[in-house]
Amino acid sequence: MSSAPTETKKPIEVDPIDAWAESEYKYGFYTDIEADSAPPGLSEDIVRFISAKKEEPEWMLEWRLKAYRHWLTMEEPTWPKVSYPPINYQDIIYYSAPKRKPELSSLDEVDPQLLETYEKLGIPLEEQKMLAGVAVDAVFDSVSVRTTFQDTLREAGVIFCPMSEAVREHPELVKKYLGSVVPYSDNYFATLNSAVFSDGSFVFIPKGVKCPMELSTYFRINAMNTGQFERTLIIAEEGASVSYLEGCTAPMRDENQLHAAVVELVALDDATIKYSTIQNWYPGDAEGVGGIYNFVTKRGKAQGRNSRISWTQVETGSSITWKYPSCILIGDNSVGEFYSVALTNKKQQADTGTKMIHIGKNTRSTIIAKGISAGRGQNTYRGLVKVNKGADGARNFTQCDSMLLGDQCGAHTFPYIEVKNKTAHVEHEASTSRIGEDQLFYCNQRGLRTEDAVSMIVNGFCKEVFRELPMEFAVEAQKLLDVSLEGSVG
Amino acid sequence: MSSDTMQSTTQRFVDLYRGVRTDLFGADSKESLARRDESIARFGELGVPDRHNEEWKYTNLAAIEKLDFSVDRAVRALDASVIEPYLLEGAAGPRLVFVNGLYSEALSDLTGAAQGVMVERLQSDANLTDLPSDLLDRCADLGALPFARLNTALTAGGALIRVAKNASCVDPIQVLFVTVADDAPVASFPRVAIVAEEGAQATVVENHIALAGAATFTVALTEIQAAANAHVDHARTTELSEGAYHVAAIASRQLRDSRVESCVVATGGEIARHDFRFVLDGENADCNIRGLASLVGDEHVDNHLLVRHAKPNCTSREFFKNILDDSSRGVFCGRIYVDQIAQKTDGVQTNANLLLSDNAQAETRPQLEIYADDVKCTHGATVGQLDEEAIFYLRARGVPEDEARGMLVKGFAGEILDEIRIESLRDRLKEKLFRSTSDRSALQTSL
Repeated sequence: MSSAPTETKKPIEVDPIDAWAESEYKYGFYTDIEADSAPPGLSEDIVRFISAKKEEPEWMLEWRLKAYRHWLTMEEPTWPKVSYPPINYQDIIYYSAPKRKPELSSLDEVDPQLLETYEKLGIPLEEQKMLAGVAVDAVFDSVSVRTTFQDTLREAGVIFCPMSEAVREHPELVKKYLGSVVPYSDNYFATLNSAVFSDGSFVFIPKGVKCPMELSTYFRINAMNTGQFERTLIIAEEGASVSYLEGCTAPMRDENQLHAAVVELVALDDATIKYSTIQNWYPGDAEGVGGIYNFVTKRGKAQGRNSRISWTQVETGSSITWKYPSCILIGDNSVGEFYSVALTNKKQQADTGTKMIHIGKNTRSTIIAKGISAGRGQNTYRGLVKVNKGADGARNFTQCDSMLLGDQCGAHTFPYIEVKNKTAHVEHEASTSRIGEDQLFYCNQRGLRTEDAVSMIVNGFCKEVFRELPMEFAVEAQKLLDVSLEGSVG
Repeated sequence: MSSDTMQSTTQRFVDLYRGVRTDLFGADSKESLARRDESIARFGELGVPDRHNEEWKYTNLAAIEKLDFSVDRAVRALDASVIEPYLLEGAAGPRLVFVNGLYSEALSDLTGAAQGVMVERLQSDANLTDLPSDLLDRCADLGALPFARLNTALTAGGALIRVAKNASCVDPIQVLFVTVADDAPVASFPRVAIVAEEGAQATVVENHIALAGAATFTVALTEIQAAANAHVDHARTTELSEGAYHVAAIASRQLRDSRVESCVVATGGEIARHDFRFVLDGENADCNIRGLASLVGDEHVDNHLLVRHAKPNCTSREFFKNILDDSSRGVFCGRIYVDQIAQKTDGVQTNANLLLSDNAQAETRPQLEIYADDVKCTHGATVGQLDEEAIFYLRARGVPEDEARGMLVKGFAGEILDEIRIESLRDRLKEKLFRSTSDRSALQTSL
């Protein structure tokens, strides 16, 4: 970031890594908007309340209730390598929406406080949206406030709208695909999401259409005590392609917030879906208090022949990140990709990775995971590569590297590889190392400040992932790491 | 008892213990009995794991649920010709032979120990409490391994090898465990303790042979302790026949500048499971663990590894290979654990699997758990088949296809086997492992 605030200047002797670990969250601010919230707690009535608020049809409510009833029979999983105080699900507010204003015809009518928040975040909602060519469906708390570029998209036949609208306007599509990748009974948090999901994005790219622009949604968590239960569904029909961007920052706050989102992707024959995430939610203070719990289920089904699903994620925020964006490679020749940078600092914990399930013939998958641990962060890669019996010629390459900055942090790798087909080729490589004294010395010697050297080495370490990001995001991601490293040395 | 256990099977072993409790060696000592009682109680708590237990996800012991195991009270007579093929050729070192876990005086030969090398059988309370407790307490988390506990409770014999300070045993010491069951299923609980004192050098070969017959279940425990500057060279084979189940724990604790090498080769049987618990508990210690399994039919091998770097500047190498044919299954789960103080750790872990058949399966979980920052740890895993281009290359030069395949498989296994220093053992294993491969090729050709 070129306009670095000068007050972060510190004496040169400060250990850059320590200083970085101590630097404050740069995007912490809070917007006060009167929320239209449900009372805290969870019951069938709350599920009905949410459904009624969304003006949902009966079948949607039934689906939610089915999920809720199933959820009651489930137990919260304890296997991830993360620790947090028990969550009281009756303390959470399951629905909160900014007050709906009727008929917004121009940006002037949008709550100025809201616009200000976006401004601080640098969301390209106004001119930027034209320049960047990005259609923005900004989710502010749980209701989509504003959707842009609808006309351009409509012309191409692309449906890009809030989930609640899709349930009303395109029930046949939602009925067909919702829960087809992540069923309502999938896991504890996905089931909870199925019962209480508030909103999210719905994307449908019809046959043969290449989506004319990158689609992006900014998620923000705003009202106190509001769990976010986003539900995203992206469908690419035969020969369609789409690139979807998701990025988030959140205001500073004191109470932990649960975020249990579900993302489902469906790719039919020859379709391509690229899903990119930058996650920078509030990580909590130095003691890890107040950060977001990010327990997300993301899964893509490469159903058609030659289909392709690609996940790219840069995870720098949240006090706990727990997610495994996965690909089920059903169609012959389908391809799954996972590129990830996960950074844990202070007391952040991340247990993240991917699953690649090879079912079709000649399916290929690539996993590149980079973990960076600093402060007292704990970073875990956990992944599964599974080659089923019928998956002739399946190919997987996995590389997961960890970098350690500081002696209080941890880096762990727990991959699972299961192969039931002899023609499969599966390779897995992992390494753990730290920034070498000699590397820093080398840079210093050539006139680079230690801070720049650390930044350069970290960015180089992550390069393989960054280059998979769409251009705007690649810049943002590098900036994010730079911002994180900033303030380490004056 | 936790929910992921087979309760009736667990209870059966507890009952088995109750039946023989006062007949086991050391029963006249209160301490020894208390130890065994405590172990069986802990085993009862831990239970025989079922497949819901994450550590046993890929290895199903359900088959032993149906078997009613008994233990031998008296050592069976076995013809010397039975063990003949397994003996190390020309080795002058001592040899201990056990049949179903009981010491066979007739087949053993305790002469020939080098100076400073003590080879005896575990038989009295004195040597059980003296050494293994020292080991058990300090070896890595053996307490959480249910079968290590079961072994402590039920062991009826084993070998104790102690090499005094700066002594060295040049000729390998061989410990041979034979299991045989005529008509009823038999369980045995063999145990080996290897203690190398400061600067000592020990070479030990441990063979577990299951002969054809009724079902056998072996719960083995090997403990290695290497003091400063000691060097232990340990080779272990698990050579089973149909109906044989083998569950073993191999634990090692190393002090400063010591080196432990362990090579574990497995073939045959129904299930062979090895749990390795290695602790590098002194600076600059070095361990090297290698494993090879060559499987056909429904055979199943599961190697579980935990190498803990507890002190700085240690090096560990783990290198495991599986050759999987027919509907066999190879499982590998390795973990390098680096303590926060263990800076300058250097760890490498590799698992390679060769799938030779459509029905063979490989499951591998190479893991790293690291709490120190100045470390260099890598792991790698591969699953694949023979390189068709390499086969083509050989065929183009006039080598028949079967032979070409055999050569490549041998090359794959050679990386592990060639490291075995004891020539007669190496040659015997090569012949044994590759004979089964060539038999199959011959069969395929004739079909």
